[in-house]
Amino acid sequence: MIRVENLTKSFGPVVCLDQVSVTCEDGSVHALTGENGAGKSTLMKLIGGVIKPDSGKMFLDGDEVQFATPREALFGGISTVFQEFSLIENMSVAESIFLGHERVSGGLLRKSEMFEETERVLDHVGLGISPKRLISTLSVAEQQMVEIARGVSANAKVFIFDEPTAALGDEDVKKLKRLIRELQRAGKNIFYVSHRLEEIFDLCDTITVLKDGAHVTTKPAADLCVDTLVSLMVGREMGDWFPSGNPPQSDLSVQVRELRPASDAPEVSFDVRKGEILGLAGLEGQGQQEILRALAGVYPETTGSMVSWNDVTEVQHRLDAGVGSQVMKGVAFVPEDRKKEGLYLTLPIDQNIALGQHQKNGFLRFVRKTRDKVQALMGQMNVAASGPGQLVETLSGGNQQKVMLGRWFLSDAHVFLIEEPTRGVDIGAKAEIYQLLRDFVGGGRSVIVLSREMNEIIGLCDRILVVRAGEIVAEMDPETATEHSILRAAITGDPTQEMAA
Amino acid sequence: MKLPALGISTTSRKGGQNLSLLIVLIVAIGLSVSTQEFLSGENTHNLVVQITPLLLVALGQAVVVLTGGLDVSVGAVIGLSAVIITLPIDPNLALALVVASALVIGVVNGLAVGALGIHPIIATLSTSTIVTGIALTLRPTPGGDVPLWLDRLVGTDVFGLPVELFWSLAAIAIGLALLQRSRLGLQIHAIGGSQSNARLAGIKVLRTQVLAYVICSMFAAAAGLFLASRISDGDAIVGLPFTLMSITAVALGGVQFTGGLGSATGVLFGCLLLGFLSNGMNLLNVSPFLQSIVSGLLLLIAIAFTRRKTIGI
Repeated sequence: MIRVENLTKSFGPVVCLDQVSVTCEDGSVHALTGENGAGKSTLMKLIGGVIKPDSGKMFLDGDEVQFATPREALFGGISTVFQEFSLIENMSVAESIFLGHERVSGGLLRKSEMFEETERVLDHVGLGISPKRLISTLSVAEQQMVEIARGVSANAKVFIFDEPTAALGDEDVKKLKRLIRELQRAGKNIFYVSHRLEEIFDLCDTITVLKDGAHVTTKPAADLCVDTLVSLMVGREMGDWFPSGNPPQSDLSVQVRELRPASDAPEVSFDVRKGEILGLAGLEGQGQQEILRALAGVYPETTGSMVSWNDVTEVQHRLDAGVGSQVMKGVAFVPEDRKKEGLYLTLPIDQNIALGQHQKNGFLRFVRKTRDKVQALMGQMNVAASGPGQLVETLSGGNQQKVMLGRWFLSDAHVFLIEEPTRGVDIGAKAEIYQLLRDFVGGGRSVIVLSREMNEIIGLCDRILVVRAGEIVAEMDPETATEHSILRAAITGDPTQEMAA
Repeated sequence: MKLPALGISTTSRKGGQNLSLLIVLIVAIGLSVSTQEFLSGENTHNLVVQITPLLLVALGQAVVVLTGGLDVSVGAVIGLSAVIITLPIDPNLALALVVASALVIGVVNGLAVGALGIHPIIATLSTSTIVTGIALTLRPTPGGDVPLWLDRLVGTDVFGLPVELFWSLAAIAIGLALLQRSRLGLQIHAIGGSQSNARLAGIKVLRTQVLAYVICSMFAAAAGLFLASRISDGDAIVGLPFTLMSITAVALGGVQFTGGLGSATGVLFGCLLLGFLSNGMNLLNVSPFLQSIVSGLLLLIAIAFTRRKTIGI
């Protein structure tokens, strides 16, 4: 039996997990579910030794335990099958299982012994591959099985599966379920993190729901149905800081037809009107980010057409011509990870902002001083900084995001593509950013945003498209949409009917 | 990391060594047919003498490349050890100083890359400049005498075979044992595959990196002793051409510069190929300037085959 008590973890000012207690009995498959960002993965990382809790205790079979690394956790009895795999591609299956605790004599590996042990474990988990195969030659499902075999080999008591079926085909999902049931019969404690409700009801006997880092409820699966579970997951406080604006005009701002971000992705077509903020909603990794990035020109394999209207001028876009071409044609892209993909942290504010303006210039054009313009813009956007010369890395998240937006305001873009507009931004700056976007579309331009926060999508946007498996499965009016209805559409692909358990 | 397109195996991480072997054989056959001297006893003896120091340096270089790094200080280390071993001091002390200096240089390189996060080329280029400066201070012009014990280990015959061959065999044996059989070798491959995941598996990444650079310096120091004995001189800059040559040989041997894929046998093939080509061009009277162009092109082609997944090292 594993029990965690009052686990708390914050990253900076954001509390990811607040005083959560959970118990998993022997021979139980315990589901952990909740919306995007509810704290499921954080909780599992704390148990798996990947990150350390700020406070709280953990008991394994009655003894208090603490793990500094995933390896300590593994040999302390906790095996995690990570969402992102922790295997190394150039290692063989046997080496992967023994990495970090190789069998050696005098510094030399006892290879045959490790191969035999690996064959035994692979046989146990029902994976018929050679222990000498390299990880890079295995399918995702096989890699997952190797991770499980590693746990079996270390004789782990607790098995954590973090969204294990996200990358698996139907056949492999069946295999995985069989294996989980086998572990269950062997009396292991199994945590199953997922937001695929049908799998949860199929596999798990107990369900814990998390919301905004807090524990909502733990109940036997038999006492819950899909609809009650969904209503337990949603219901975040709606802020009143969303600015209201004029309704969108009837003129089109962007027309997207037969867009495919990759050759094997489904086709999507949609329009955005002038003055409109369009939201792309869905569960994480369902293809909404690919759609947005395809429009930004990130993927060279993109096919499909995009036409936009800058005032009355019609602009034809080439989506396979790269981000630079899209910027020249007035499409600005604000990536989710502004620190890695957006800003130059070690440069001052004015240089970060001025980049947007210069990107339209020929490469031999002289760079004119833009400090005055930047200063004025910083005033308009209320950037809290000592001046245009302050380094961007010293700014708060909200001010960094304003600098990011400011870059494109100055570039005269008429279409903004924004991922997670307020990630890592405090509430006060959130409201200001929403207002900035409202003001921006007020001039006959448009914005497409993507956000994990359902209430942000509902509050900020004029229209919502729900994406599931790369397809647009529902179009919703935020006046009538609820977190519940969006989540339902995102999970089942069907916005109207009741879900079957 | 993608497996190399040629010679794919589902169980081998030896990089492109099979392709290298194929090219070595083609070049060897081509030279045997086009020249009369290539297979002569004198020329094969020359080949062994020429290839041995390169093999020593390249095996060390490969250890660092397998971790995902690069060591451009090997040429400087060769020069320094050649200078130290010919100093007019007690031969045992000189040998101890050679080993100690290689150790220090390796540790500094490893810490600069692993602990301070300096780009491997910049880190080792800096130590290279410093080390060459020290070597030139100790001995501004070539000179000095090689100790007697070392003199006997080069330029003689053992069992009717050139003694240099045994240097090569010993180096290959050490390289194979280290990379294919030892725990350290596995961990070197692992951090070349993914540093973060190796850390998750409990591998001490920094320690492994430092050890890799130390091993590389040790191999380079051995090459320095060999060269000092062969030319009977301590020459501070004798090793400098070996830096680029060792990188070329490693690339020709199919070792991936992203780290994690490659083998000691592949490095041997790379050294043979480079040695055969330069020997062959001499036999065919190709001008040394043209030879320089050819070796530069070879490096470019070999690197293109082992193209990095990401830009930078």
